[in-house]
Amino acid sequence: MADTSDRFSFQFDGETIEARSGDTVASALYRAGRRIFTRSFKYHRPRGLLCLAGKCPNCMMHVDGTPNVRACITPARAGMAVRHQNAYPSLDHDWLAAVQRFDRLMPVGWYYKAMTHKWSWHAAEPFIRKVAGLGVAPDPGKGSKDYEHAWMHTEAAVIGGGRAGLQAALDLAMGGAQVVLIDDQPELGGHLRYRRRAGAVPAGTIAQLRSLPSVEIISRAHCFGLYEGNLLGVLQANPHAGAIERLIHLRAKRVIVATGAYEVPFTFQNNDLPGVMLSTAVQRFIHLHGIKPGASAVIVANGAQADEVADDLRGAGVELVTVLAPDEVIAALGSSHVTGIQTHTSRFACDLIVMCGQRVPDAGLLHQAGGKLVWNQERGAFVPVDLPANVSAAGEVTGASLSRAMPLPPKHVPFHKRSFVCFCSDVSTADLRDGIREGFDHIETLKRYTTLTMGPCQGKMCQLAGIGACAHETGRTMAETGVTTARPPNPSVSLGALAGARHHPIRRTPMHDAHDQSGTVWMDMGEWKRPRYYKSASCISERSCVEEEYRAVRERVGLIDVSTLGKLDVKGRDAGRLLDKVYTNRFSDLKPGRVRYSVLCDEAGIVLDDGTISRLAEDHYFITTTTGNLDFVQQWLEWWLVGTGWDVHITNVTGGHAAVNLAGPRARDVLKTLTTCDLSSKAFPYMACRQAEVAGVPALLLRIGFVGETGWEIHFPAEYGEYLWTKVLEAGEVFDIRPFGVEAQRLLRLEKRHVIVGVDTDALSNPYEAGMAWVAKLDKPDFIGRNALSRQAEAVPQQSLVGFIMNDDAVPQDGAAILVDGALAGRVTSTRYSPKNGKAVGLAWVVAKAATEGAEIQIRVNGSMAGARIVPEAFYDPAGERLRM
Amino acid sequence: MPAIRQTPLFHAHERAGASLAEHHDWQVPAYYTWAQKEAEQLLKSAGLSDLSWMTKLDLKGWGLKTPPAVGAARAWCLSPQHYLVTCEPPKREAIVANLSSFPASRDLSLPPPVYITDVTSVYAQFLVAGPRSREVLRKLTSLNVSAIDNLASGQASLAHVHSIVLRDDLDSVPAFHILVSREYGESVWEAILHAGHEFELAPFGLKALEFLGGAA
Repeated sequence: MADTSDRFSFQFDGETIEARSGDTVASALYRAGRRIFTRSFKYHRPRGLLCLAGKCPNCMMHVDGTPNVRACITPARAGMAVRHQNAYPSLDHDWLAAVQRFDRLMPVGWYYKAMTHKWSWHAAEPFIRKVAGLGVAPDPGKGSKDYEHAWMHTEAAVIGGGRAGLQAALDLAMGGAQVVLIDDQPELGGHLRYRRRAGAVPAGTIAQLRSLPSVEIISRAHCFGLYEGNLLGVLQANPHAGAIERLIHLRAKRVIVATGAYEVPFTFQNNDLPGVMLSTAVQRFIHLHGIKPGASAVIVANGAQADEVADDLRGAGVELVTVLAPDEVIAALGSSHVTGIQTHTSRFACDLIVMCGQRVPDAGLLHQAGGKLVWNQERGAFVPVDLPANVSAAGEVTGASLSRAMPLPPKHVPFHKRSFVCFCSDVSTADLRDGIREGFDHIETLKRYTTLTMGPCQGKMCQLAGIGACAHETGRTMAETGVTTARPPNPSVSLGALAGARHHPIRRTPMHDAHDQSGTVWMDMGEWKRPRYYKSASCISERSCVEEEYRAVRERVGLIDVSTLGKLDVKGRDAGRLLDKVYTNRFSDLKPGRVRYSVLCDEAGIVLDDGTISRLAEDHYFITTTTGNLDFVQQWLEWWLVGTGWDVHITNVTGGHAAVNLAGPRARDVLKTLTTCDLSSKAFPYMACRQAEVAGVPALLLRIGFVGETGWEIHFPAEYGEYLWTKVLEAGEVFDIRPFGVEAQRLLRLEKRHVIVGVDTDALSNPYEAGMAWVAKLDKPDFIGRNALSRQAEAVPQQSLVGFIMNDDAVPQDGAAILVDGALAGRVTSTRYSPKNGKAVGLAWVVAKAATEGAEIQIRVNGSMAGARIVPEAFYDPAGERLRM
Repeated sequence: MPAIRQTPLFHAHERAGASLAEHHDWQVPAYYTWAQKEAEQLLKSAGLSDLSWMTKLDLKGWGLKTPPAVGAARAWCLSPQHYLVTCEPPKREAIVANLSSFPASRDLSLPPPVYITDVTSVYAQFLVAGPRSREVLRKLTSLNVSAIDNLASGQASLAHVHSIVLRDDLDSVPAFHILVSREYGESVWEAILHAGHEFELAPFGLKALEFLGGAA
């Protein structure tokens, strides 16, 4: 008997409903007098509680913002807000029930029959869109922290915590196996909790299982799928206070399915009326919730199958009017609730019709695993056979203890438009007959044409009756008709649960917090957070801040955090050989203490990445790659190393080095104060590298330039990130140093006409067309892409990457179209306003014949065309003198 | 060298109110509440500590067909002829010297048997320990951590980040070192705290670790 000690209340459509501890939303509403729980999908017929097991669509409500919640298996909680679905203005008075009068216009497959003209769909759609569907989409912004994932591994998984599942779990555990037991009910015991004649809940077994450390029990968890390799999908409700649902990926060496059998309804006219219930629903009402389901009942059952529920009804004080056989029943009587039942010969008054329906094995998981469902005439159901290795079945799901509730295929099927087979989509026996007569006589095509089994119940209530009707009408046997394919997930899984907690990893540089304290405006580069620009007292807009940063670098000194660069440490006797093989430039002859730039091409000569490579020692190189391409480059190098037998060892050290670029005419003045390393151009020329201490921190200094000014890229251990960043800014204060972000860097490098791989190049770009012929050393022994590059070197280019400068003050956007003589001739890859030139400049791909020096091109700016001129050299310091100062 | 080496969680520890101390030139949390309480929580359920300051050496080379000689430090085999050595910072010099000294009879036509790359700074390193540590981890990774024996390792995605998992129990208490690329440190730390909330997982500092017989 349900625990009546705890009382609380919740809201239903604004009305306060009293509930007790152990109530579901449905049981509390029923006790409060509610009989209509939803309206059907198509005809808006009143629907009441039918199964009380979460297997039919009749109790779906909107609970705490979530639609389509099955009220009969959802525990009631204090303060819950429950609303009805699919009825206007209320469940008891739904205007859309008038739709039933037009049922002649909506026969099975009526979309295909009615919408024969294009306009008919356009006319009908807005209306259908409003009235079709179930429930309202949940409010956005519901916390993603409410969902979790977990991964479990076990020797044996037992699905189902009824008698057979409990025993199987115990036997396995006693045999030494590690066991996970999954059960979907709030308490273990399966149908023993409400079917008194079947036996008592085995409390001793349960206690024993709970005491074993090798057994893990997960309750209120549905197993919705059995996937390849015995991977089980399990959805656990409310695993703890902080989560709504947990999706468990459970990998088991052996799976034992003990999911039992469930009851399905009979087919007769108006069998969908509130007050028509399955016998197990009545038993749940009485034994789990202490509710008397009605005043006077008629039982529909095959002979002695009625005895059990008759006892239960008598015990609950319900008057037993009579017991009828299933084929005696013609119709349930009543308009919004059962008032009686009609047979061939008479009529009985009652307010409850109890169906002792056929019990059907809940064998979906076994079907998914590859087992077959074959018709068993004696049992009156399809039972699972031919299970794959490591999957077995126990208990009622095997079908061994079932008995027939009625003959199938039925001798006589009352084809009537109000005899419902599919409750989800209002598909009647008449609809099935019509579908079959129209030619859809195979169970799979009949299913798709009528939508039988395709609703929220996923075939639980309707599959057997549907197969029976199909067999009867086609003259085939049940075995010949067969079942439709069971597919996961069943029951359904919310998208939130599949997505899990919305946790996107963020990659932060070692100086992240320092940037945060300095007025940084952040940008995302893949998973990295990078400063886009820095706000300060003197600038407000992005444009003015970027220009200030730009001026600092060009006129004084600036500092940028480039820690996001990919970095690879390459050691080994044959390291130079591998680099020669994979990069287009030559590295085996690079002297220790020197740096060289190269691109990486594939076998087709397409540019994949670029970077600088420093030689630190005879057998030691240090590679930098573009941010975001590190994983690819490392895999590419490892790939081409395989099978060579060469002594090369590659280590990803990206996270281990913080890196900054100190650049500007005063960069040397700043750096001098922090290091004893000789920074003069004589001792430390452009494209050289040195290891030295900077502010007492061991560092690798690379004299390379991306922004076109004298500068050093300084790599040092990440744990000194903030310390060194602060020290450099302090040392630079006297020169009015500015930290600069990605936007300023983009502008600075663009004035120098530096290409960014992946921005200014794409999957069709080769080094020759990109203007980097010098980077491919064709006189090297064979390397990746050499053949293709040789051909490209000789070929006439199709397009070229060129620099351009606008004729006046129009500023295009990245990606803008380029026209020459009115025809599409290319596109802009990068463009910015250049303070140095007083006009916008940029890089663009242009068809070869139009890509000549000085040629005029037209660029689309704000919908109209603006003129520009192609220039061959960099827009700033083309001779590169500033770099070498 | 300046004694202000910061782990990737430095500011997170500050925000959490940790009391910081200097440990081999690193700024590390000594405790968040107090050592004994943190240790008790770990022994009862689970704890999380930032051990990014531990020395980590990446070893590759043909000489690693057999495990390297590293004394009391730990050598973890990540893949054939590829080891990760973890140890307390003071032990580093001796280990490197030992690995770098080639036997006199070595055939000089062969390349060096072992190449060492210091990856101390490359990884953020967290210790998840306690009787319920496995339950915490199984909310973050599909790796079957229960199948990792003591002193064995695994690699898998953890909180959507590639991780190396090293099992090194504290006496008989299950304990897992989680290594991720340093830039993911804060992200993964937060994910572990979030997953562990259900089990009352609490961060613990150096003092608690010493109390439990961990690092010195």
